[in-house]
Amino acid sequence: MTDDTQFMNEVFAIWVERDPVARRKAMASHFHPDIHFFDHDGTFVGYEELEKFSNALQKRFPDGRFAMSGTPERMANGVRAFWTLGRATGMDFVLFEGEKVKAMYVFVQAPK
Amino acid sequence: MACTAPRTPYAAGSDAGLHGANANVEPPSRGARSIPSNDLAAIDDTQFMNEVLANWFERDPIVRRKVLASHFHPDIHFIDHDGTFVGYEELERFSDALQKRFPDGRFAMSGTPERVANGVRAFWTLGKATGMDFALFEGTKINAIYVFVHAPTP
Repeated sequence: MTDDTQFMNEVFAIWVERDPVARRKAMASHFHPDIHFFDHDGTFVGYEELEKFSNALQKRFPDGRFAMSGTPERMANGVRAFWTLGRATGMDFVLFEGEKVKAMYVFVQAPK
Repeated sequence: MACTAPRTPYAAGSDAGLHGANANVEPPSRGARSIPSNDLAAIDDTQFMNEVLANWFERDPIVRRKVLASHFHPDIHFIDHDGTFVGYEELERFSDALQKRFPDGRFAMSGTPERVANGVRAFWTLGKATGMDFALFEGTKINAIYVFVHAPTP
């Protein structure tokens, strides 16, 4: 059984992982290959597109680090987790298929 | 609020598409590639979700069924802390139980629903309880809804 808190913390860490080999390994163990990642700006499908997203994030927030707020909540195959990144806050809603994520919806509240 | 055009993934090195970086900027293209974006464009999420919230307390079973059918696919999966309800009849049983438990209950939406591709998030209150619905659309109707409740201590 997946520990949702640990799993989601590992997902947060993926985005700012600097080692591309470790990052790809973590993606492969947490996401299905056809992962669909949705946020306000677009849709990213698959590991390579998520790596481009991660690269852009690291470029924009060189010292960025996600911190989980509270504890993830699970409803069947759906898990909700709130986070902060610097002054931004947001929420991920993640859909699992088996042990891995097949889709995630990211809601961001940018700081003023 | 609605997705209106197909989108393209970001090119390598792009500084767009960041958590929070462009949240208030209308992106050049939106809409999930796998989503029928023309259908989504027709939906007013606030109105739609208000109609969904109101329907749980609809007392007229014929009206309630009509609204269920216009807002949910027949194989709708409704998932909350108590279990999963599938299809209109099970949702009606859920509604009946809710009306029995909260005879004068009424959902009030908090803020404005937010859409990301085919997913819509809406916060609400019901008496002293608060919660959040996350609805997954297929076309112009919901095919799954995840309900997170923060019940007050009785």
